[in-house]
Amino acid sequence: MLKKMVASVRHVLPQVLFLLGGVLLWQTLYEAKVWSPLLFPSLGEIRQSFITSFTVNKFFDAILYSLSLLTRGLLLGIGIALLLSGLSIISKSVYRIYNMLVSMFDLIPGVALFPLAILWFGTGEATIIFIVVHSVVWPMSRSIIDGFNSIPGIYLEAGANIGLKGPALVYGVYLPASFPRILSGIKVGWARAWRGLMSAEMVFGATSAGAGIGFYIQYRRSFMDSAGLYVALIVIIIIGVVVEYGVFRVIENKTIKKWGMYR
Amino acid sequence: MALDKGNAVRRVISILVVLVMLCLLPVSAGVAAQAPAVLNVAYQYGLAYAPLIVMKEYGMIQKHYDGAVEVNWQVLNSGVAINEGIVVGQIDVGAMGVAPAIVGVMRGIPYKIFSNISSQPHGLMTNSTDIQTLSDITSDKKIALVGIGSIQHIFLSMLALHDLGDAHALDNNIIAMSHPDGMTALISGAVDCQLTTSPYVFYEADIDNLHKVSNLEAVWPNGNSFIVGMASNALYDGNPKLYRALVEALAEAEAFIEQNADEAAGFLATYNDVSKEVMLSWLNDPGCSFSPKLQGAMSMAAFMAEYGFIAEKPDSVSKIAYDNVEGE
Repeated sequence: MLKKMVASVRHVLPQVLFLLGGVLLWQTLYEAKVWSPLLFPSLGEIRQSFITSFTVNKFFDAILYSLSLLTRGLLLGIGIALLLSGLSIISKSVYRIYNMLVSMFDLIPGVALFPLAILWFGTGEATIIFIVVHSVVWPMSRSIIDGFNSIPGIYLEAGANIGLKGPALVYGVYLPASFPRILSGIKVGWARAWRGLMSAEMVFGATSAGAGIGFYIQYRRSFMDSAGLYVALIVIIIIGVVVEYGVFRVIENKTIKKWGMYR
Repeated sequence: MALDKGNAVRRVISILVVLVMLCLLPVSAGVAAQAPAVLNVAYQYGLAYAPLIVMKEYGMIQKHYDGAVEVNWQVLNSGVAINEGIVVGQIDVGAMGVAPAIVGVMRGIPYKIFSNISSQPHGLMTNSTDIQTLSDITSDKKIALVGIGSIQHIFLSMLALHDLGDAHALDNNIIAMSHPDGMTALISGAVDCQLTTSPYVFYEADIDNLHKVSNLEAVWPNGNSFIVGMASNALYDGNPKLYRALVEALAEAEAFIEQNADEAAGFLATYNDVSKEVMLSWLNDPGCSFSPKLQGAMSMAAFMAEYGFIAEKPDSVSKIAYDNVEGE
């Protein structure tokens, strides 16, 4: 028991020491007044801002709203990507057309679509979700299609041997065999969706349904609340870490690590 | 081995060279700072900045300054952007609304008001026949204004407090757009309302399907300060003669527009691409005035402190303005 505890502490020791060192360095730089306190607030100010952001400035509501927009966009995007990629396997022409579409649209940054999206959908939730879906669908489809293409032929032949065809083959062989690629596609999609969402919220401001983290950041910036900006960044990092360790690692452990496809 | 020792020595020497070069970088910046006086001035879109345009075109700062000075002018989209420029030292003098100025001073930006610049009429305009009063603005309607933290944001909050009883009632309806972009968006229907100032509010008043919801007179009477001039502490302390020249040049420009309205209208008309008669009618609007005297700034600061826009209000006008500034 103790051995296990010591082992896990030693496991995270480099990271913890690094972060502690960073915190000390921050406070030293602040005391030395290397930069204006507007650019470089003290740790005390940041801590104080952390408290006010949740008690006074309704930061928690902003976080929930951003996450709700993100989840909707992400699920919609993953669903579309899986559907269209699955169809691409079944039909050769769909594959060729979809492959071309993915290559074309993957490189369009979400920001470049803002002006058009505003004209089509107005400045409400629909536009933001559209941007998130755009950020997710193309990289995910690319990962899924590449994953499908890199399955060793022998698996497909084995599947055909036991009588799997069409959708059954997709579900039974293609998806599990290409799951490492699909999972990394989901991670990329998540990162891109998060970026698209933040930039959309900053440009569009609040919607009628609520105000997200991007709008919160803009508000802090406009009132020169640098400590508030750092708080927002820290919270975004925490969300990323929680998703990485709480969601993706768990999925990995239960699927690709268990199946021996990932060390 | 002899070869290894040579490599190690070479590595140490190259690291030392890089370190020395890095240390020389701030020195080179210091050397550049000894060049002739440079003044970086930033302002924004609108008729309120006319005195700066006059100063620019007639070289008034250079005239009042005893020595060589290079004045750089730039137009930015918002007072927030100018604040950021001053924090990083790229801007020395900025023209912005009273609100971003108060926010900046209370946040510790090293600057103060060196003069009032202008008062201008404002209007909350809309393209929607459904919107006749503030209470008709539902949560899905967008109000375009210069940005969060701008004086227009504070005006909107004052209106919201006056008409709806809650200063933050319309915060989530705001979408940040510069005056020209906001006007385009209002005309095209991309946004429902715009809180804007001259000359955009004049252009929009002439367009048939737009109408005014409120002219803000009830919360911000004519004559109250709108745009003020900010000068960095570095300028005030570091080059008092240039600071004096700046104050005098601005006063001269304001007097020129107020007293020689006809000639000023002719000059500004070409600048704004309108006829002289139209420009003269704008300058003669009761809400439009140019004067070095501050008015209403402390009451705006009190409002902002009471409703959470700033942490605490300034205890006296000398906190936000230099000694040469009259009024409050």
